[in-house]
Amino acid sequence: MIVISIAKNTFKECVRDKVLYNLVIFGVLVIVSSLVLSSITIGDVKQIIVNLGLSTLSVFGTLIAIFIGIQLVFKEIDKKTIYSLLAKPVARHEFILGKYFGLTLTLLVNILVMLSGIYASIFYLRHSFQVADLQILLAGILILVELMLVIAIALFFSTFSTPLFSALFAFSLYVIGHFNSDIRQYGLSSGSFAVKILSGCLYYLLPNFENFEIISQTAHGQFLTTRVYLLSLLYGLVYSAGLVLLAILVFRRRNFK
Amino acid sequence: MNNLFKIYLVAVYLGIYWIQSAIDQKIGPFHSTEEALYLPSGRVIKKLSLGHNGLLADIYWMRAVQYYGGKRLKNEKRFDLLEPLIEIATTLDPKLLHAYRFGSVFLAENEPVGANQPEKAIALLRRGIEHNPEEWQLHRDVGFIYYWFLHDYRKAAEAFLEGSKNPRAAVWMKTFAAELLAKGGSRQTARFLWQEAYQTSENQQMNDNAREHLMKLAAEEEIETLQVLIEKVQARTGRKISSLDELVSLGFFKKHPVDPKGYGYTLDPSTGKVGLSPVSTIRRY
Repeated sequence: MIVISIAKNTFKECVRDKVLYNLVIFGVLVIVSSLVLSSITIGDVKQIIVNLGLSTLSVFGTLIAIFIGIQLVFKEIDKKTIYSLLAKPVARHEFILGKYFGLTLTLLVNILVMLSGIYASIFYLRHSFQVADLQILLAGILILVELMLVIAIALFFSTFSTPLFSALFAFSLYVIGHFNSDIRQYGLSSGSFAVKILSGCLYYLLPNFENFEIISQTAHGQFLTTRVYLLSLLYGLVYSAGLVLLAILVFRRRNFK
Repeated sequence: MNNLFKIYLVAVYLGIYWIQSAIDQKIGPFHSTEEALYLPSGRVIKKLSLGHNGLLADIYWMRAVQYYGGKRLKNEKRFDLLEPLIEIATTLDPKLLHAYRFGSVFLAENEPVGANQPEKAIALLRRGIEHNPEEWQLHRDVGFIYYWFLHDYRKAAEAFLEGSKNPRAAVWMKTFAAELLAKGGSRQTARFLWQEAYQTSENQQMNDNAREHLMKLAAEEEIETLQVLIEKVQARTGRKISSLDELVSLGFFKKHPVDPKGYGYTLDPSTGKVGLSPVSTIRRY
């Protein structure tokens, strides 16, 4: 119950944030502009709408997840509201979970708004929908799980670091996570046993964001198999859960006296 | 005070406008953006795209289309960046079918309509086939380029035959391959191919291109007919025909014969050869 209250409060706080509105408006504008861009090229217009729409959704979602995620805990400490909060019967894990789900809810709303933009663009183009268009919704769900992972990373760093460093760490981890297979490949092609072991460990330890690279396939109507899709969802959820747990552990050790 | 700031602001922007205009006047506007690739490797861009390779492929393809269109509008003959831009787009998204199909036309067409690089067009299509083996149209396009631009009818037939193995391929491909081996580059086969391209193209520009080629074929046929007619008239009347208007006065035509675009055919009195008008746009192909 407390978790839900904090989540609701975090959501309201995020919605009130003007930067968030700007990002959403800008994102929707970019999606709409895909219709304009499609007029200056040759090819499948729907493909451009899906590519541009889902990429916008993912990029802006990531920016929101990082830049708001790093402030979730820091803001409360900075404004000293954490003292009054923790003085109440609010457990520290409830605070972290509430913050996490609050931002997740915000991003869910963002994704729904942006997905509506994509579907509106497709409807404007074709005046109808096809069953295959459901793939865009499924891709949106996978992107949401990817963003939940980004929030978990940002939240984890924000429990022990300043916003600037948290943003830097979170963004670095996001970028490295897209090069995971290269790390693995580098290790496998290396002659050194130690490098092989190290690259193998890093491959499983670092978040693998390549699991969520689905946009191009969705644009071509060539979706992942059900098994791979579900496993990717599971990977994101389990990894996020692990990071949120870590964040709780770190936050519980923090001394606010 | 507020008004003073507004005036300052307007003055600053006017200043920026003036400075930028002065720079542009000196070195030419947007001079540096035209012929630069910034990142020449599609593989590197794909890695740096962080999963947004599809969007970047669309952007690079858009850039290729704009580059090609811009060059055509200016009637320029060099298309230096066209092939690298298409290659980057297709490396970023190997499933970008229209980049292979339209890109190969841009590359293969003769100057000044295209880059006059049919070999590169075939290499592009071969890469497309490698990544999209289920797309029989790519085989058809390879055959088409061998046929029309390289006049290699054996390789063209091979490509059509290879494409015909796909169960979804058009039924004419197999028989056309055999016909091509028997008849080679006859006008009949050429007309069939362009007609097919004209009827099946889903893009207006490609449609227009096929129509232009069909007009050229029609013009060639008409020129041949006129040539035969002139020779027959000369043999029958015993006098040399020096102008096509003479055929009009002899009652063969009601008015001066024109090509499919409405430009009058010409007759060179010194050689006796019929040709297209120097201003006819059909000449471009």
